[in-house]
Amino acid sequence: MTTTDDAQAKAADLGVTETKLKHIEEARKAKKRFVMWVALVWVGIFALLLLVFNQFNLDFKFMLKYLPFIMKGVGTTIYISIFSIAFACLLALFGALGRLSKNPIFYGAATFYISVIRGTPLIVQIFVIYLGLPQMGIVISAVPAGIIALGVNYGAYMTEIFRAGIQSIGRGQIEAAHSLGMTYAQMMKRVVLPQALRLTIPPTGNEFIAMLKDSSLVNFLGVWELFFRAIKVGRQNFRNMETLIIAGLFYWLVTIIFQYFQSRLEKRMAKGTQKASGMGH
Amino acid sequence: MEPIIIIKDLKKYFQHLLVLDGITTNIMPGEVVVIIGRSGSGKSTLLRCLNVLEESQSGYALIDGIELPIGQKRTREVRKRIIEIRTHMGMVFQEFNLFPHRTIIDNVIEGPVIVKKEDRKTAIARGEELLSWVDMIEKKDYYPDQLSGGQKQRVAIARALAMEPKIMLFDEPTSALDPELIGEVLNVMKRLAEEGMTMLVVTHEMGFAREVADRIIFLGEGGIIEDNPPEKIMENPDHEDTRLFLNHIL
Repeated sequence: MTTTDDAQAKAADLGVTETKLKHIEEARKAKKRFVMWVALVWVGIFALLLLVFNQFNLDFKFMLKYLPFIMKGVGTTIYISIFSIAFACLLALFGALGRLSKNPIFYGAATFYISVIRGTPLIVQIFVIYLGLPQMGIVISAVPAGIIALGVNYGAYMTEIFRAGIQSIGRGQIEAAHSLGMTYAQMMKRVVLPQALRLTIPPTGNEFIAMLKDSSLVNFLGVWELFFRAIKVGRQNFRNMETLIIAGLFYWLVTIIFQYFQSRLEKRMAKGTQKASGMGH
Repeated sequence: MEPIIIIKDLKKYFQHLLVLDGITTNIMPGEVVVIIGRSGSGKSTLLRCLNVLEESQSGYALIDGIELPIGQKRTREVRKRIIEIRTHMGMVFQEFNLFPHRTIIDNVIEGPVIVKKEDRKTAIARGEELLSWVDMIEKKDYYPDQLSGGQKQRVAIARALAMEPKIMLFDEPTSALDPELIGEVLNVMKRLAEEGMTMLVVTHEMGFAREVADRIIFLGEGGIIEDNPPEKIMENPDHEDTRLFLNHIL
């Protein structure tokens, strides 16, 4: 190639990158505009909401006074949710293995568990464990009872998440594991579960965020979590709207925070798979 | 010399479909047998029945002195026997089936460490030797998704060899590869044959078959139509059907 050809090629190349840059710049601007508008809409609706709430004759002094008392429940709410989701994951794992088992005992036990739990309200399950079990002589205090009930309930729903994760691992890998002489347990532990569990992390994050709110049901057991504290002071002072707003805001805030981590986690994991599958080609 | 594999009247059904209709053959230690046949002729199924990835319904097979469990309940003893059979036999798949969440070296030592409870260090030393042998040692800390198909298949061969099997089964090992990558895999297989490994290979690479195989078995409709040395089969087959098939694939 001669030098003039080279120069021409370079110029053409430059032209391409310029239009490309311009295009990228425009796309960025459009995105910025969109985000700004969304923020504006949020602020607008929020202001409107405040306006509506103002009609309730809210006692802001009262709200400020009891804010710290109600806020103390946030920690309880979060830790009940964490223990419950951990317990739920364990049950969901066994539930999923049972659902996929060819053994009628394991399959039967798993499907029965899922059917009963999905077929009855969470609040009934909570009361059965807290109020029903003592009739059999089993007394569980409020917090563990709440954790067990929430865990058992979410575990049944999350069985599907774990089952999908396990089933997404290809038949070929399972056969390769068997052909090396692995037992079913070795194959599950070494090949299927490490990959399957990774896939269940993002949907489990979603379940956790839902759990944060459902954990408010354990207030019926007298657990001093966020919602319990809110209605307690609310009723005592006939200022229910104020305390409910405080509790609601805290639930919302905690959800936003965990949702942020959740979406970061999801992005990171998506990147991981892209990297892994992209590099070979 | 005793045969290392004895197969007598082996039958396999998928529901009501008879896939293997009484296979009978012996394979001697160190023999390389290439199995050819039309799709659906049962060639992959035969390999899969031998290491019990598929269950056979009747007949008899002895693999390196261990009787293949046929029509038996999966008791503890039978399960143990199946694992023993599998550890005597390495298998290489068309789709490689490496474990994507583990590095190359970890793929190779997985069998020795987990199944044979071998010490990790010993397994790594031997694994690295094997990876050098298949010319993949530089990639030992890569993940499978970072390799080409040919590289993956060479690692898969090393993984199977790490169990120190006496027999190697190859189920269409080059069918999923781009044409330019087939040679590197066939080369490894050729070297393995030269080292005296007993090999059962399902493939349509007739160049490889002619050069390496001791026998070619032509399967059709679940049975052995012809079982002859490569020269005989490729130049002057006993059966018209064999000639038709070879004309078609060559």
